[in-house]
Amino acid sequence: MATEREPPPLTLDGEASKQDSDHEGDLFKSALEDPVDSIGNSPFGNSPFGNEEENTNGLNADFGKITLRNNETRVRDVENDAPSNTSSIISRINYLPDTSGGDGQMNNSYNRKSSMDEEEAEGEDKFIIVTVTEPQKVNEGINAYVQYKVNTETSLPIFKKRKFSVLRRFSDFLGLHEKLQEKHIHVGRLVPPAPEKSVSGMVKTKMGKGDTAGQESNDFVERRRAALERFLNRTAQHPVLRMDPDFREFLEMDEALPRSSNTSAFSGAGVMRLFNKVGEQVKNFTAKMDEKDQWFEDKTVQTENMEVQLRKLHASVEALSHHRRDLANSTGIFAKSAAMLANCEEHTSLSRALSQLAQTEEKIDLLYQEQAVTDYSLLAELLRDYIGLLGTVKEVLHQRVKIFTNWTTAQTTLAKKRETKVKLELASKHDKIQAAQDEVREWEEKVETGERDFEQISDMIKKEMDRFERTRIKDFKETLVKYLEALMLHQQQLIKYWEAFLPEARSISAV
Amino acid sequence: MLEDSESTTEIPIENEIEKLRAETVDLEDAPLIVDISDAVSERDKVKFTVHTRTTLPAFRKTEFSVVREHEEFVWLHDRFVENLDYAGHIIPPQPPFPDFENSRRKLQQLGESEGLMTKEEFAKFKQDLEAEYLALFKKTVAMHEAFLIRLASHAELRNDMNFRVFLEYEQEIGIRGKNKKEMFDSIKKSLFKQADDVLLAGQRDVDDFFEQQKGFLNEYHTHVKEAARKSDGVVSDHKHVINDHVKISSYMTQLATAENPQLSKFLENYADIFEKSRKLEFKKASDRDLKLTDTLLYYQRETQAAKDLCLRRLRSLHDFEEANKSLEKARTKNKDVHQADLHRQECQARFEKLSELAKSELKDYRGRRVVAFRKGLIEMAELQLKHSKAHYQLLHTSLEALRSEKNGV
Repeated sequence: MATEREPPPLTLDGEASKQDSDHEGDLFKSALEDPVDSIGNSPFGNSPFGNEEENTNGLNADFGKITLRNNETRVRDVENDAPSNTSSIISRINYLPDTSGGDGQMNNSYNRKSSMDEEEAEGEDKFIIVTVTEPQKVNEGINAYVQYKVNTETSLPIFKKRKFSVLRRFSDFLGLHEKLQEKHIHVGRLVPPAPEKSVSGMVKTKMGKGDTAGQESNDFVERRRAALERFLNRTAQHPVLRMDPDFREFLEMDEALPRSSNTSAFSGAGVMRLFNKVGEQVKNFTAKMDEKDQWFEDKTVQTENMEVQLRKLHASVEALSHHRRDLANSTGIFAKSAAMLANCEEHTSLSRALSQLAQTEEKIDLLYQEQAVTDYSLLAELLRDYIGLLGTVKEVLHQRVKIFTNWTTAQTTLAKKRETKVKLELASKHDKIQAAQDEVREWEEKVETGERDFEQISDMIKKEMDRFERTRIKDFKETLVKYLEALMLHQQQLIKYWEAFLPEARSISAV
Repeated sequence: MLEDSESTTEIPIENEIEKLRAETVDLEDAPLIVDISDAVSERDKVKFTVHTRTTLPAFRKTEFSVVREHEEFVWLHDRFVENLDYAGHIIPPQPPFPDFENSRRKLQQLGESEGLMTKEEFAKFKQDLEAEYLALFKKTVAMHEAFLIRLASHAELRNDMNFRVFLEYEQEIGIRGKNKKEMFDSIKKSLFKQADDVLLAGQRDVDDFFEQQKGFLNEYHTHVKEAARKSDGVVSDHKHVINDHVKISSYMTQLATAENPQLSKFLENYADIFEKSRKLEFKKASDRDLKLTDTLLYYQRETQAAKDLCLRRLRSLHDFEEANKSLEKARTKNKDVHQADLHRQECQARFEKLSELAKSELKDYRGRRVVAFRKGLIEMAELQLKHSKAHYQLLHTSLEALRSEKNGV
């Protein structure tokens, strides 16, 4: 919990509001409805919805013109259930300058203190469900891509309509994820990972011939469709992420999104991203901190542990699905052999029974195939999603370590600056004392910010993890139960098939 | 069980054989009843205790037991095949060699990878392999017994001298594996047989029944062999699925230990469901193997025996026709006519007797086939139904429990 420290509540006045350069004017007018909902009573409480939307909207509504600031700007981000009136977070992305016009809006929207309970309550009466449907191949050859229909149904007032659909392509999803990640990861929010790019999948999309695309290609598209749907819903269930202007734009804007170059597979940016990721991982190993908070210590260990277990389990579930498919195939092949044998069998009722057996086995073949799909789409995908999500957890934990490092570095520097100042004073070099004094003050501020940032990301992570755990447990239980239900239905089918076959076998006349 | 195979292992032989045995009836109806009362696995061989009860006067006692090995069964089979007196009979197919190599190899592989898995996983895999081995063992015994039962219930074959020796002679019969000369002989025999096949392929049959049977048996053999192979493929693919269950169950238990307490119990239960499902899947697979694959395999061999019978008859027909030609030649040359005529008559008599016998034997074969398939198919369907129902019940109760737990938390 943030302690009572006093950085001025809204130092960002006139300083910065954040908005991506892509976002044009009137997109977020609807967001104006929102402050009404989010007004709370705590004078200095913070809105769980983040100030960026409000700011931006205020800004856009009032000025409609946006300029991009290139330098790093600190922004007070809201969305913090700390009782303190401060909630500043260092942001390393380019924020747009805020204006006094946006300020009023912000002040309103800030006056809300959020707590888990309120979020929960909100989650119950405000719903948002996203479905991804009708994957459709557009163009042929190298320019081919698959387009998905993204349908939203919601009662959230921030959206203009209650029900709407847009067309999006895969790279749009990646672009959305990229943007959310840039904005939210560094403050400790868990941004659900987007489905991975797959070169083989891309090749299938590009090479596959229209409607005659093979079963494999169809399977791939369906799996991706389902993965994209889960990604959007996980994001939509997050009380802050769903209010993000980029997310809303993704769901709402009728036109095609601007193509972002660094999400396409072969772009230079894509490669750079890969390098950056590798770099990050190396740093993950090197950046160590002396953990004082047992909770984080435990979480870090638990996350690592669980990831290892999930990976093993995931591999074995994939093997199960794979082997079940093999079993389906060999059952199908046997069915054909049995049919041949039935054809050749001269004894009439035995021949009939054998051909019934062949038909039964054919049905079982299909059933096994269905089971293989269930193994994959329910169990394996659940596990894979959570391996990905644990990756995000690790990233967020790493962010915290980074911030901690910054803070301690600032402390060391401050100590040095103070030393220098004392030395100067002793040497009575009055001309330089003033400059040293300024530097000390500057670093004092940095230390303060560092500490604050650290406290805040720590709080945020705790809160996010709490939410993550609750959703995860629910998700696991629900999916696992669903899987068993599917298995049970399959057994029911098997019973039906063998029950139908049994009289056929009994009616073989033993002559 | 497997690792003990160095020492002597007693294998309980129960229901499978009981069922086969049930086909034979009381001494009143059958004068000769043979069963395998015990089987012991010793290193690389299996010793079968062959138990006989009889009212036939040719035997010295009414009830006795001897110990026989697989090679002695083969020897007995070969004696029947070689004996021209039985050329008109379908000789019951010899039982397959007791091949536990596969099981041993699997166990060895398992032993080598012991370090890579948890104790529980290892125990389960071992348990499965042992069950598989036991099933294979039982099957082997059942096949050997079935061979003897077929002979004992055959009105003519059961009176064979060699069969009596096999059942009664208390010492080892002096054949232990084929020596070099025998190996050479058997190769020569199979070469001759192939040459026969080629020679007789062009042989037109005078009898439509046999011509039709020959075509049918050839085709049937091809399909039944193919079906047996494919059915075996289904079973072995099923085994992979079953092994995955072990892994999943084990990893889920491990995950449960690393988990949030709110989920760990749930996962433990879930792992248990996988474990129980595995057992049912195992039963489904092995009963399919026992009831379907084995019926197909057995009839692959029976059909081969029937084919062999048809071939013997064709050879006899060929001899008869050759004798006819010789007689023609002798008549034109007016030399050794009487001798040639005698030979012709002999051949004709043998051929006609063989044909008549073969006809009824083939009908019997057909009847046996239908009965065996009927039994196999019914039992398989019943067992699959039973296991699927048990599986459904398991999932149903587990779901109830999980749901209440899920809602309870």
